[in-house]
Amino acid sequence: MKLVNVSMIKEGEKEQPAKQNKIKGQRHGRTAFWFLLPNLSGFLVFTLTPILAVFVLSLFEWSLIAEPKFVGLRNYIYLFTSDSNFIRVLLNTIFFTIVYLTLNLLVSLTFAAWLNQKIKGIAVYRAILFLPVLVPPVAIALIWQFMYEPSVGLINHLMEAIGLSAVNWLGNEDYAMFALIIMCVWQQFGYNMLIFLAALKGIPQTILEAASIDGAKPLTKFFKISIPSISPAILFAMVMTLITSFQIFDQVFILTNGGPGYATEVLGLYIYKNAFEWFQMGYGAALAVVLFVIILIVTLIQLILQKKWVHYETK
Amino acid sequence: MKLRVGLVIIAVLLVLVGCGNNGQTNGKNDSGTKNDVVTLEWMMWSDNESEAKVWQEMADEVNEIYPHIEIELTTLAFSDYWTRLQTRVAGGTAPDIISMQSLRMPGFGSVLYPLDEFIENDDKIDIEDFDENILENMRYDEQVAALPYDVGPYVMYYNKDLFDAHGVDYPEAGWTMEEFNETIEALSQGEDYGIILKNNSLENYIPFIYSNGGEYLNEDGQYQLNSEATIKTMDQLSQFVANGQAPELVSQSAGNWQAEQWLNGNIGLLLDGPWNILWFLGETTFDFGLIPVPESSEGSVTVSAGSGFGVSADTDYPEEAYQAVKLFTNKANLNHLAEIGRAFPARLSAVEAFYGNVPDEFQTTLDYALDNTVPFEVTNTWNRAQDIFTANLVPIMNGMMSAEDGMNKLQQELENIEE
Repeated sequence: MKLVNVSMIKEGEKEQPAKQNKIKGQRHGRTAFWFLLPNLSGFLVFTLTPILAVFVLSLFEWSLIAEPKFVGLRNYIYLFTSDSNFIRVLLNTIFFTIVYLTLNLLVSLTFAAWLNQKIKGIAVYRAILFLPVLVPPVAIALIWQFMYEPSVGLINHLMEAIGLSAVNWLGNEDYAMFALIIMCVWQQFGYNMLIFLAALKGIPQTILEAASIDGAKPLTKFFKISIPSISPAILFAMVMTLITSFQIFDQVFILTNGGPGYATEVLGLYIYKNAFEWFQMGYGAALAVVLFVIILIVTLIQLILQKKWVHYETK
Repeated sequence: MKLRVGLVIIAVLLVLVGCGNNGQTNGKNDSGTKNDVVTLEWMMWSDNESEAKVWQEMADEVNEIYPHIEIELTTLAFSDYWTRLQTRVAGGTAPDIISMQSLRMPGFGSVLYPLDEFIENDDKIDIEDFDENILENMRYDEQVAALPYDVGPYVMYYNKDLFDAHGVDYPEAGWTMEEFNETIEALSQGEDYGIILKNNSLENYIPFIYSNGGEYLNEDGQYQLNSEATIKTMDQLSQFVANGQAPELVSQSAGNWQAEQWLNGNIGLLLDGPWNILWFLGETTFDFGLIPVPESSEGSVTVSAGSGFGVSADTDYPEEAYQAVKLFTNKANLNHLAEIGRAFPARLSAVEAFYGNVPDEFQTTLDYALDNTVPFEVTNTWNRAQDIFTANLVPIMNGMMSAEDGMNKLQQELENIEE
């Protein structure tokens, strides 16, 4: 979510003789390699190795204290045939992802559209709306825990002030998931908002002006011109947000720890509990592999479906 | 080119791996032979500053008495301690001195060094002085695996100011279930609650369950949480929430939610262990007292948990570590822990020091509770069982499931993990 890779390709450079080009390319490659080395070694040691280790570990039974025992595919067989928690946890995760993703995109797009107007002090609003993204999730979860507190919490006070009855947000199975989603949207929408805002600013004024001259209303312009124009940005935001929402952990760990009952037990938390609370490292690793495959498939589906709705600028 | 890239990557990895090894060898060389100073790491939990200071003083004292032993103290929050310990054991870097709670002994006993050979050859330790129950809980595989520093029966704390405000008489040891219910009803006025129930942890429910004739393990040591008496107990407790006499439970990560709520001052009763006395004395703005669990069909039955210090099975210096552990749990140190109210001491000879500094009624209550304590058995899947209990507890207590349905569901889930 935090990493945005922008590759800039300079086109139209003067053509050079092919041979000279090749030598130059090699020299560039070598220099680039040395510059990449620090990052690359970090990636190998702290990212790639652990990822590979998870695949290997998922074939073992390991409590951390006793020696690991090779069990083949037993963890996976148990996961798909006998673990009744898994389905529940998966459904919770999917529910969270769908509702959270939809709300996040709607809210961030709305605010981006609003900020894209000529308003006084726009930089201040933009900064305020982005601020929650910069706060560590754990701190936010702790603060929202107070706000959701049933008797003295801010949210119930506000609800009572407008005539609604107080709710035990974190103690009632019907509300806890929504409490979690609301908090996560509040914290994260600022990131997508900035992406959408930048994309909206990039729409050529000439197109919008032309539409105005043709008599298009503001809403028509927004839905018929702005949205299709920024569809690549929407795709990017969707893919990244979907991945992070499948992986949600910190917020739910602090806010509800999966409860009440199992109302907010999501896959990330279930992996953590298996590995680090019940010390079933192998089973936790198998769950992590399954999560990886799910994210991979869903992301591929998104990338295939994009052809239907994402418009890239054509030359 | 490709070959060179590969070699550089391998070289970088080797350097990184090498660094790790170097670190370890250096650490071991530092502590070399007898004449050199041996540095031992002691890992301990501590949830507040005042506690951390106490442990640091004990660590420093070791070096004063044994100049060749230096203790490096690492403290962590209680809830983080167990995960860290497990990962450190797995990584082969277990601390030399490991703090251990009786409830975790079945899970962690195998990483501790059996201390019997040291104890047998040591005529100064006075092992008889330790409370029998807690020393028993510190055994693993029939050998003493840790020396205990505290033992604590679960009792009830009550907010005296709140009792005064509502004109309710203070409870007395031997109070009955009826009196318990009446007291809670009388205290629950306006914004005030009679009692608070814990939102996680089976331990805090066992005294009520036992006193009512229920159980949590059957004769074969398997989970049994849906007998009639146990369901009835949970149902009675959930009525306090239903009647607005106890706050609705909130689901959140491990922590001391119920104790923090109680500290706000508008709640009468709280079930907890005596190890919180130091914390409460520092935090409360009101007077509080201690009282045993009310008597029910089986009388007033409670369980106690305690903790101690053990030696890592992996340490290079078991003898030195044993010396340190012995010093931590000697009479002087346990006297000190008792005096400041951090621990109800595991040594009988230090109990007086504890009573000397707390109100007299604490003594009556704790003596009574200790007399009515039954051994606290735990299983090697205790962590998992606790999580399952916690998950079902909130809906049961908040009335979203009947106690009967809830406890039957809980039992089913517990049986699943036993398979």
